[in-house]
This record gives sequence, C-alpha cells and structure tokens, in this order.
Amino acid sequence: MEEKSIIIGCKKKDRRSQRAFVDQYSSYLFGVCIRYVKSEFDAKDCLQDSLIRILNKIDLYSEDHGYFKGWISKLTANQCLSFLRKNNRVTLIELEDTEEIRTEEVITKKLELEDVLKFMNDLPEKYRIAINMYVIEGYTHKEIAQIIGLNESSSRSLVSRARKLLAEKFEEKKSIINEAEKGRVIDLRGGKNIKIN
Amino acid sequence: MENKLNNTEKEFQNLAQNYRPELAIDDIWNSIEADLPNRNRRRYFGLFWFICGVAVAGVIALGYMSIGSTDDVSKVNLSSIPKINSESQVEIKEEVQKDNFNRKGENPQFEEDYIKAESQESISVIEKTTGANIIQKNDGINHNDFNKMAYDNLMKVQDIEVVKVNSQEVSTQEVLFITNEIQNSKISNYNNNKQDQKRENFRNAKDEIAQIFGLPTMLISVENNLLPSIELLLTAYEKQIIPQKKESWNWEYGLFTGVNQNYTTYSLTSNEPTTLDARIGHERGRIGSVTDVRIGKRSQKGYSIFVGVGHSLIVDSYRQNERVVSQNLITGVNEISIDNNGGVTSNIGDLLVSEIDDVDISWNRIANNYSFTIGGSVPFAAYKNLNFGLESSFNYRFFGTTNGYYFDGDKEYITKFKNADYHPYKSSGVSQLTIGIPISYKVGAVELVLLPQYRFGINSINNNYSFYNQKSSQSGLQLGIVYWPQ
Repeated sequence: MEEKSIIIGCKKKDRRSQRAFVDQYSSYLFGVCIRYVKSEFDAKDCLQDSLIRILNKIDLYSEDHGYFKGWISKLTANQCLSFLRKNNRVTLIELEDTEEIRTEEVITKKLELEDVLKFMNDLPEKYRIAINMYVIEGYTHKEIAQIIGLNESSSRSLVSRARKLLAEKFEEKKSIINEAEKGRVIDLRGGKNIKIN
Repeated sequence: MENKLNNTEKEFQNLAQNYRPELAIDDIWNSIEADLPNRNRRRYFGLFWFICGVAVAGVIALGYMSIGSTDDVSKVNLSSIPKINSESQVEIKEEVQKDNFNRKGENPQFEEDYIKAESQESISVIEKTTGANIIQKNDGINHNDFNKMAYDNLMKVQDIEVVKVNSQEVSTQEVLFITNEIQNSKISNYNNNKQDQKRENFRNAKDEIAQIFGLPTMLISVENNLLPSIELLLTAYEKQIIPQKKESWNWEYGLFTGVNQNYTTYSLTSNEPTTLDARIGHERGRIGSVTDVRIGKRSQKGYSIFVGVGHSLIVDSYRQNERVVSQNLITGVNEISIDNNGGVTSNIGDLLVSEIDDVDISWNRIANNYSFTIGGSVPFAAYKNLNFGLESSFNYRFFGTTNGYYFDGDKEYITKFKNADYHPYKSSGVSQLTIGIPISYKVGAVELVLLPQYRFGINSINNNYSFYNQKSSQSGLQLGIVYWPQ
C-alpha cells in the first residue's frame, strides 16, 4: 500500500489502512524507540503508545509538516522522551552470554549496526538523547532545545559533549580493531581483554 | 538546515536510520487495535442525521411551496408602505417578492408586471385622495410590519388620532376615532362627490372597519367627517395595501445540539435494599449529548408549536476505587484454655472475620435514544434583538440501544453487556417532559438560540420485572439555529 493511500485511509479511520500503517512502519519506529529507551521491553511499550498516538493524531498531519516518516519519527521520539521523563530512570541493558563476539568478526568489521546500538547504549542518557536527536534524527539545536526544555546554547554544549563522547567511542572501536588485528581476542561489549593467546 | 556531521557520524546516522528489527506485528496490532480511533459509525451516524434533516426540510419546503401556490397573488406578494414626512409627502414602499413567483413555475415576468400594476393602482388612489407626491421604493421592509405602519401613517395623513383601548381583548375593545381640525389643505380639497361609487360603501363603513380590526360592529363609532379617511383606509384595505388584520403563522425549522448531564434515580420494587445500596455513591450520571431537529409554526407574536426527532446519548458510570473491609461472623475456635495439668481445651463459637478487598471498578453505560418530540413555546421578554421564551415539550423514545454494564440483582454482581445481549433496559416507550428557556438572537430570517433545558424522566428506563425502577433525567444546554422566514 502506498504511503499516501495509507495516510488517507488512516485519516478516515479505516482499519485496513491502520493495519497497513502498523505493518509498514512498526519496524522503523521500533528502531527509533530502541535508540532512546535502550530496554527492548520498554521500547515495545513506547512503540505501541506511539502507534496509537500517531493514528489518533494523523488528522493533524499535512505535507507542511515535511515528509511523513520525519513526522511520525518526531512523534515517536517525543513519546520516548515522555516515557523517560515519566520513569525518570536510566535503564541498563544486559548483554546475554550468547552474544559473545568472535575475533574474526571483530577484525572484519568497521562500523556496523551492532556498534551503533552498542555505542548508543553505552552513552549516558542525556547524551544518548542528544546524539539521537542531532546526529540521527537531524533536529536542529532550536528544536532540541524546545523539546527537551533547554535553551539553545545548552543544547549546543550538550550535543557537543555527546559528539565528543561518540568520537571517543569510535576511537575506542578503532583501537580494538587494531588490537584484534594483532591477534588478541577482544570483547567489544566491555572494551576489555578477555583472553590473549 | 542540515546539521554538519563528519563522515563517521554520517555513517552512524545512516546505519541507525536503516535499522529495521524484526517484530511480531500481529502481537503489536492485537495490543493496540482496541485503542485505535474508529469513527466510521460516528461518521455514518452524522450522515444519517444530516440526510434526515435535509429530507424533512425538503418535504416541508415542498409542502410550503404547494400551499403558497394556491394563494391569491395580490394578497401574498403585494406589500406597500405609505410613509408621511412633515411635508405630508407620502412614500410608498413596495416590496415585490420575486422568489415566490419564481417558485410557482409560472411566468415570473407576467406575475411581476401584474403586481406592479396592482401596486401602481393602489398608489394612484392614495395620490388622488391625498394629493401627495408618492415615491416608490423597494426598501425590503417586510410584509408583516406593514399593517401597523400603513394604518398609522394613513391616520397621520388625515391628522386623525387613533385610540385603541385594550386592543388584545376583543370583548372589551373599543376603537374611537377622534377628529381634530383637518389642517392639511390637500386633504381638505378632497372631493368625495367624485367617488360616488365608493361613497355607497361608506354606509357600511362600520362593518368594514369592524372587519379590519376584528371587532364587534357595535363598538365602532364613526364621525361623519371622517368618511374620506375611511374611504382611504378601505381603499387601501381592498387593494391589500393594508393586509387583513389577522395573526399569521409561518413555518420554522430548527437544528439544536448540545450536551446534557444525566441524573439517575432508583427506587426499589422489592425488598432487596442491599444490592441497591451498593450502587449509591458509586453509580452516577455523566455528561452526554443531545441533538434535535424540529419543524413547527410560529406566530408573529412568537408563539410556536413544533414537532421533531432527536437523538440523545445518556451516560452513566460506576467508579469505585477503594479498600472495602467487610466483617462477618463465622463459627470456629474462638478460645483456647490450658489447665494446670497442661490440658488444652478449645471452645467453638463465633469468630469475627474481616475481609479486605481492594476494589477497582470503573465502567460506563451508554444509552442511545431516538425520540419524537412535540411541544410549544411562548415568548415572555425581549430586549433589542434578543428574545426570551419558555418552552415545554413531550419526548417519546421510539428506539434505543444500551451498551455497558448492569447490576444483576439475582447474582449480585455487575455484568457487561452489548445491546444484542440480554439486559434490563427498555429499547422504546420511555417518556420525558422537557422544559426550556430559549434565548434567541435574530438575524434576518435566522435565529441563533441558546436553550437551557431540563428533561424529566416520567417512567422507568428499565423493564418492569427488575427489582428496582431506574429513572433518568437530564439537564442540558443546547445551541440551535432556527430558520423562520416571515
């Protein structure tokens, strides 16, 4: 179903269009949620709330709001921020044992999706939000300031520090790869050596 | 403006934005479907009422047009206003309602010409009588205002003072024409010898005047030197410049919508107070909606009668969020005694047991009512364009659906139901008496109305075999628009 048809159908509260919307955008929106709230469980909650919110507010959408994905992404990000404010806590993600990373894979990787999620998860919450909004979602400082409730200069320094932290993560990753190329087994998750043969 | 990102950040952004994890979409859909907006029924419902309104209005309009087409053209459409200024100049203001002719499907131009000719003839009579300079104007003054204005002005031409006593009470009514000295030289030049034919009618002047004013002939006294005036009056009357003095009733069409606050009262029909007590303080009326479409007839004085159909949404709710502690006596070991030898004796007796329940109940019951209405209203005050009235009507629910919860008296618990399931609420036959105070603001043929109302439930909304009677009354506020072409 085309995006335009889905939007028109959802505005008419047509069930099939709503279902098509959920089919088509859930995965994308879940990607937004997981970047903000870290925990998969919480991200699913946020996703459901976001879907309901979007479909209830879809009458308000017009092309003036920019492209549709951007609009729903903003609503979802706002939903996630509300969730974080409401719960007022930093969620910690626990890695499972089965996620052990093999040396060969580490060596061949540059920057991949898992790294993105891991970097995001490792960042303190406020920096994670800042990176999400500025680097990934493409919000301006003005928009970030409005959404988070800061002034623009605070937003600039927050984003600046977050980018610095992210850059450090990239450097860390680079050094890990270098070390790995020298024959060391590295656990990317903790950034520490597991075993050296 | 795009944010400035370095290459690594761009790569980072690209990867993050294209992250598409696999999800159990069916599970997500099932968990949100109930909360999604579904306005299809509401939309169709609104459409239904819109079509009903248009259909009713169309039928009435057709009926009105067919009735209008049987009227005498000159009576329906001619409206001329003589007006005198200080120089005794008379202006005749003519309003020709072309639309009425167009609707008749006849030759509109012919009708218009005919009316103009009729009007011109009437004007010429007055000109001849008064010697005044008559100017025709199409100033939009409506037909109904004409009667009084025309009469008053004609009296001014003759410089006659008209005194009407208790004009609303025919039995005690008296019209007294008092002649002053005729100062207007143009009037004094009137030569009644040239109007022999008309003069014959003057002998019956009292009857004619009595007819005009709807009075007994015996109450009319006419001075001889008033005959020219009477002739003028009769001429205008015969030509329908002065319409026959009678109360006219015009159609009105109204659409009202607003909110209502429901009040529910219960009374037992059998001795089961416990189950009813449980509801008091928890079950109460909530705010619903009300919409009425009306048609009726209204007099020039503002009295009206109307019929209509309406829809109302009546909402009840039950909210209980509390810890309920109930105490019961049960039989059990209530005492244990140990004697000096270590023997243990237990006594069986009453034990007071407390049960603690954390109750969290929240539900609504929604009744859709479709009803007929018949009623009337009377005006009682007016201020500028604002009119205040009092109205009363009788509503009869001819169909209704109820969804939600009901209290099952046999099982003593609350049961959820849909209209198609068993439930104790009536689907028809519920009556209400309504009183209201319409406050209207008139703009041309349209009135904007604010209507505070109270609807008193006459009979029970649940079936007779229930162990209690449940009556439903509402207070509400409606906004309405009424079209009242005069």
